[in-house]
Amino acid sequence: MKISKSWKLISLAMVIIMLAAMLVACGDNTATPVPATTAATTKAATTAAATTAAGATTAATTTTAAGATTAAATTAAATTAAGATTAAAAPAPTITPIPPVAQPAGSLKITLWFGLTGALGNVVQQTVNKYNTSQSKYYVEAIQQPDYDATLNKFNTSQAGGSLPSVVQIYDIGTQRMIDSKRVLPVQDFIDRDKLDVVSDIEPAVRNYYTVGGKLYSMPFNTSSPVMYFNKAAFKEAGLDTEKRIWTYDEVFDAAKKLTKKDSSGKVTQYGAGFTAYSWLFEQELAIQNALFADPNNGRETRSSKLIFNTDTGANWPNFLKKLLDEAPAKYFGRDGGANSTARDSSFVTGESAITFNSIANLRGYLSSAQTAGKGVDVGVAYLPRPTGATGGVIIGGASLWITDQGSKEQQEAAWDFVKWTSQPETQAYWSANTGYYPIRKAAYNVQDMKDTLAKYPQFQIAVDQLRASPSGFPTAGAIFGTFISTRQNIEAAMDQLLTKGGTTKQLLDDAAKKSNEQLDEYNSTVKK
Amino acid sequence: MSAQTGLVKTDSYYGSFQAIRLIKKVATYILLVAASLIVLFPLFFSFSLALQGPTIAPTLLPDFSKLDFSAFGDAFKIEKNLGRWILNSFVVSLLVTLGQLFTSSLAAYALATLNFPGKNIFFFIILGTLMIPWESTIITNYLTISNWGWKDSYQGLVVPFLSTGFGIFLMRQYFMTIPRDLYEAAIIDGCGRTRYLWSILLPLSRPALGTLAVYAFLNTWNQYYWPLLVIDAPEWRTTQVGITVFRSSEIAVFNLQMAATIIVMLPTLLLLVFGQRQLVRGLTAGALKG
Repeated sequence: MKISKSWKLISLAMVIIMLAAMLVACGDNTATPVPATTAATTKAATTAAATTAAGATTAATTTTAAGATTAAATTAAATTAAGATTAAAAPAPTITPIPPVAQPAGSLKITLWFGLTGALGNVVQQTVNKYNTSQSKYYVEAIQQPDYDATLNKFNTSQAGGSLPSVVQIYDIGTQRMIDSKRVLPVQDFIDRDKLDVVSDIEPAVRNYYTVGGKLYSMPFNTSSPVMYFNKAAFKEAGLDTEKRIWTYDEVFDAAKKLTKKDSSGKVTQYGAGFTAYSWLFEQELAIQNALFADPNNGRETRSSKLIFNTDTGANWPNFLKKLLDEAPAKYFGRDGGANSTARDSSFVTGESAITFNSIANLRGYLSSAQTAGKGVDVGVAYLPRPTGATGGVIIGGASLWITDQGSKEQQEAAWDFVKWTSQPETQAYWSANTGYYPIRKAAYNVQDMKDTLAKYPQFQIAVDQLRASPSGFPTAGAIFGTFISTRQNIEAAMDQLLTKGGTTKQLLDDAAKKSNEQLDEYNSTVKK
Repeated sequence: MSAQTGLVKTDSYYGSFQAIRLIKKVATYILLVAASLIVLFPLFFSFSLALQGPTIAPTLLPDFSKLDFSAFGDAFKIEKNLGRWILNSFVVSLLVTLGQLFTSSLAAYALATLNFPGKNIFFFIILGTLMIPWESTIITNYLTISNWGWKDSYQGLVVPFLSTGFGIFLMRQYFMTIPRDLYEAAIIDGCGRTRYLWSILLPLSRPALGTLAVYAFLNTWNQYYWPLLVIDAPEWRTTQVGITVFRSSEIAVFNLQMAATIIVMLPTLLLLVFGQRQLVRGLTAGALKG
């Protein structure tokens, strides 16, 4: 009898909670102009639009090019107008909700999946809203996915069911897997067909990354590259040059030694450097030394068949970190990602470590957090350090937009129209101004929005210069192969082993390469030629 | 002898006995408090992170002079669907739990009590499904669900999980422990098979049903990959997929993320607080006979 009583309690509690949840959901929906019913109505609208669109295919294809250029022109005006207000706003991580704009009647809907979240995800939605209001022919529904990994996984599984988005944002290291999905349409084909002069204006380093076998497969969207962050205040105190851009390993080591401070009890109060075991940087350092990561030619002409990072050149960066850690001494935060990365970032912005290595995309986060932390950290940026005499350069990271073969010809055209629009200098300037990624177009630097951004964040210019100093070639284009995720894990495991337990760097890299090659062989054998 | 020693026992003897008992009690409580602090640490820490405002340099304890509660309100402001997601998770978990209790007890009833040809073969087939990893059936399930047009719907989230080999096995094993005499006596008294299941077997099997219900509910609540796959429209997401929007790419700002996590966790936590007594009773009821 008592049992049934407590069951009643439980069910009562559940009902209350559910009611509360419903109330919250409804209350929020009525409070804002975003109707909960949009989804249902847009669904109906899409099917209607799709059927009408099918009839008008031929007429539409001929007009897209003309329509798109006028659309671009109008958005250019819109961007600069909006840009003035956005550039003035602080890049604080506080987020305000960005509701999607409603779909105009008679427009053709396509779906975009993207993996950026938080404040960056909001900017994606804002950018999509701009596109949707810039023209009325197409409507892009942007659907946020949990992260890059989830987007790629969902994409891979969804291939079986046939319902893919028309455009999908996939991270850099997913490139080979996207090509192998055989469900993508290279943007180069659209560019060639429309005889557009876009490719020559894309930053060479960015273009090279997404070019495979001479074809630009996807349109780069958000790109970044790694830099060395340092605390200018600490540098000045130690008598170090804060304007110096190119640092060799030895110079960084000497600086870190000078920067390390201990209190009377011998406890370190300021570390010269703080870092994580980050495979992305390992790959960068190979490129900086003009070495290949995968054979042949980083998989740029034919499929990568062997990973060749386990060389003495490859060992240089882990060895440098090990030396920093043991002798400076520096602080090591474990393998990159999650809480370890946060600990590293936190250590840097609070002045506990004077140097760290990370993506330029983190610049604004560092600046605002350093300000909130109030420990007097003045964020400076330099090139990623290199061994003496290195002649290579950095590789870009980030993500790009892929057009899929999903849907009608008309929807593919819509996808291309949207992707083309995102690559416009104005869009790119807006994107860069609001996120901290590079604009992918050289012409974007002439847009006022971008000029304002560079004036506000002079550190960003150093990253741009570093990227432009990168010589073109296979090493700096970066490697592409199907099992990048697990290879990164293997490399990070090897570095972590070296930094925590010690061992022979070459041996650890050999093991990582052996394991990675087995995984790569397995992947390659399953991909149909 | 014992009577004599009993005579020597003085007040102080009993006093020291009580003192020992008290010390034991205090020690137990200290241990319990320490253990619960350790267990609750993640909760405290996420609460602490939620109150620290948008920073990438969080500390263990927040600055008590400037606690920032805005993250909790912001979570709802930023994500209109948050309430809906909690509702979705509840509906889905509840339906799956009820469905599994229903199918498992019926199947187990047949396997444990009734006699029919091929019973053991059926049982082994059901056991065999336990050996098939869920991941290997994802694609086929996905194809089925999407061909039926069940993406973005409750049935798409619920139906693939309505029966489980584990549940059937668990219930069958429990039903086997209930004496067959009971069944025979009931039948002789004119009780039908369905009525026997409903009025006798199931009430006696509350512990097993409770265990299965908790297991099914939590498993469904925590699902990630399946909801991610079959749901495209944001309003149909479940909490586990939904809360990932609060994570920010590139830079880790924890306050919103933690606030959202706590909001999402609250319903299950309340359920546990209210249902704990029942749960503990359910898990231990079979431990002692009589």
